[in-house]
Amino acid sequence: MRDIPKETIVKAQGGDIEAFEEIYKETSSFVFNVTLRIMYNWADAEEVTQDVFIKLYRGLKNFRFKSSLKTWIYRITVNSAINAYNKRKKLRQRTVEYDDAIGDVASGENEEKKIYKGDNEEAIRKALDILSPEQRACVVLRNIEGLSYKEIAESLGVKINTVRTRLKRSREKMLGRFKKEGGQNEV
Amino acid sequence: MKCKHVKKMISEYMDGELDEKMQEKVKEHLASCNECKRLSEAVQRSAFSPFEGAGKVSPPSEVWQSVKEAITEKRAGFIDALREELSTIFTRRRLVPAFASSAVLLICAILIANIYFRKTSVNEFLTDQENFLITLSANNNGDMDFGTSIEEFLL
Repeated sequence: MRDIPKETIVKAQGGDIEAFEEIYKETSSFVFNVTLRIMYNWADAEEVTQDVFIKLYRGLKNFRFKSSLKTWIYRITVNSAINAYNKRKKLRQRTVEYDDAIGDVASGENEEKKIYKGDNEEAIRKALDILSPEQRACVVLRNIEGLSYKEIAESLGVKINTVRTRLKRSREKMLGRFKKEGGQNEV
Repeated sequence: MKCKHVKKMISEYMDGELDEKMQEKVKEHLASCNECKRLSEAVQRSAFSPFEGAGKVSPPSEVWQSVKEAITEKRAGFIDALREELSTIFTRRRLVPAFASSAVLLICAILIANIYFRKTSVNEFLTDQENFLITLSANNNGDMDFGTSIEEFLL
């Protein structure tokens, strides 16, 4: 994600929709993909992405250029995605309980459509599946979006040590699964 | 460097987030320790390689449309509120100049009256003093005529 010129931000702060659209074009791919990787649900990712940009637009007038706009966008994105994921998880649990209660087997289908096309997508999905949303966010920001530990810490509003620990634990989990699925002979 | 320390740092090392000196030490250890080397390879395969070349997708165009609608609606809402507020002021507008004019007139009247009366009282004062001085000079034959009973008593 490139740095957004200050004048564009200032114009958008003044309500210039075209300037805000420039910001959207520059950042929407990041926002959408991070959200999609955390939630693995297309419709939810669309909704969260919309929310992020509406929040961004409304909050822009309070932006004081003390940090970069990118960092702020990272933070809104991750917080929104994690919150939405947790809400959806609760809802899904209640739905499963309901379905179990009424004996509805057919609605047990929770497979999301194949969102990303690629040979390693299944491996990514499996790797992220076992992580908490916070760990997932760290892995996505580091391994896919290439953010540094410092940038991740700023995005999540946590200390660098927390990022370090989350990544370490995530990788331990992924390694554990890898061993379980037959990779153990290679370790 | 001991294996247990290297194992603790392997995640950071593979992210390139150790300081230069430590990065070099871990690298040297991995070159000479098969066990740690196998571990790093396993971590690479399980936690790094799957993400290499991970796909990215663009959000559908409807997302921007929805955002634009939402922020435009908010702006429109704000403009409507502002328009309403202004129209309220506009209906009161005729009263405002009336009040303002009245206030100005009143202030002017007070000032003028103040000046007039002050001038009048000043004039009166001056006249009195003038008369007093005239009186004094007219009676000035060396004696002072006090004219009061106490003065007469003392004298």
